[in-house]
Amino acid sequence: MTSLMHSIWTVVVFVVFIGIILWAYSGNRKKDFDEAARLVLDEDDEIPNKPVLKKQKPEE
Amino acid sequence: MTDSVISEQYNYKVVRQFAIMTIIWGIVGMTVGVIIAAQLAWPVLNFDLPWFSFGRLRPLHTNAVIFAFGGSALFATSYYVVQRTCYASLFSPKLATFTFWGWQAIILSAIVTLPLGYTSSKEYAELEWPIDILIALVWVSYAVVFFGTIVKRQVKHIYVANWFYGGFIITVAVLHIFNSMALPVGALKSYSMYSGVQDAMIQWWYGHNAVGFFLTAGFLGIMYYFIPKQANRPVYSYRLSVVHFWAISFTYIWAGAHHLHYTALPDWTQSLGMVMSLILLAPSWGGMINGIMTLSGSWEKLRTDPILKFLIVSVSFYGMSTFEGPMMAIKTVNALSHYTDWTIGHVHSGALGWVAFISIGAMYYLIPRLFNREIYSTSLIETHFWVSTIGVVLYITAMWISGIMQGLMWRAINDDGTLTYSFIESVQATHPFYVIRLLGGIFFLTGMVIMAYNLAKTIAGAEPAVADVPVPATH
Repeated sequence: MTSLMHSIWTVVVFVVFIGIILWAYSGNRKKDFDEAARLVLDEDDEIPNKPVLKKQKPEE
Repeated sequence: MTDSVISEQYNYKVVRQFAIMTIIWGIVGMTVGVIIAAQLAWPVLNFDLPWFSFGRLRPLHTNAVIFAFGGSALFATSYYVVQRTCYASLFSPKLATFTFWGWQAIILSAIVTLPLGYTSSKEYAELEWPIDILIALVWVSYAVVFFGTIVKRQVKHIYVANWFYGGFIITVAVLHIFNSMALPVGALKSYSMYSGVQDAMIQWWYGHNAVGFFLTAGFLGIMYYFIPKQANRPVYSYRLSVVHFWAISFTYIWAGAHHLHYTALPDWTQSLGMVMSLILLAPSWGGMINGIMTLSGSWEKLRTDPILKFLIVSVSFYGMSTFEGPMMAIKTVNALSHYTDWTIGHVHSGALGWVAFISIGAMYYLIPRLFNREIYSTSLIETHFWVSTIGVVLYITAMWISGIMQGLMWRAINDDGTLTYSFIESVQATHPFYVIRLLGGIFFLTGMVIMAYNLAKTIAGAEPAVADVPVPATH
């Protein structure tokens, strides 16, 4: 019984993984992912770090 | 999102503490490495002192470089990255402070107990049960601080670096707790809850995933933040990074059995470990390509920016050792490579080339920002880069030659079926390579000392940086 459960679980995990790939590469994710990739570059982290708040550049 | 948020400041103090300890523990751990490399080349250097002998110092070296140096680098960078990418200060600063002092206490108790011979004898999990309990407490606190900060975030998206850090934190908690299950029989003595081949399999399920999640997923978190920041370019393919994360998480967990080829472990488990290790090549190289190609279109930055050199060369070493690893997991290759110096060479191409290089790059990025100072000398970073590259190359080539030679000598058989070489002949043959390895280690350690000098000059007289949590750009 446990080995059957293990087999089912393995298949479930595999299908989930294929699903993640399809989701990640589906066309309508492109815009969100591009935005997410810009996330780290949007924040100003130059030296010296001014202790005062800097205005963030608004997203084009 | 409201104006009141502006007055909040990033918690840089704990990041600073861990960053400085990264450098100090790096020097300590690598010094012990140089000592034991010298002991292997010249056994007289054991001085007949039990606490100073190779067998006692070797686990001290591995614990110091992996958990003290690498661990501090992971704490420092993850606390920095999770704050900056979530636009939130650390959840529960008190608990964050506890993780710092708790982690240092664990390292200090390792420095005392391991040379005295207190060990559970599980590789990379040698520390005895009271220390194991403290590790579990610190680690759970780490998880609370990290995920609490994610919950506090001001932006909707959780940046990919945080996924890698989060995966690393959760998995290491599970690995540590299950592998350390033991029955205490004294203040510093315990027996594993598992026995025989189950014990071996759980140990290497732990051991290989310590490589996969502590030494890989965590440092991939560094890669996904610090390479885009230093190169000022977004990650090459964000969707690939998502697939990379899940592929690494689903695959690594199966591979540990390759540490137990040709043992009492059932054959099918060995073969499964081998196949899953081969599959692991795909996500590893997907991630490597993603990291390196982030520079696509601005390769010229590599010529002038030594910090970027550290980061990109580290990812190249990552690619190299994640190709070598699956090859060594093939049973027929393993028959030659296992128990030889090839394994040591493989580990160090990952540990020095990948883990140390990316940590060093991240520290050169972080320290100026944490102390509000330009780096003291960029040319010293350049020097550090070349000195340590020479060190890694000397180290791993010496171990490749020595390891393959050992493997071939041990399996050489005369026509009448007797062994061609006695064991001591193979020991003798490795001697020159042990000296070269020592030299490589000295080079690498020298680089660390150059770094410590450069960063000490950078920090000297500087005020700790203060940074307000900004309002995120609208997404």
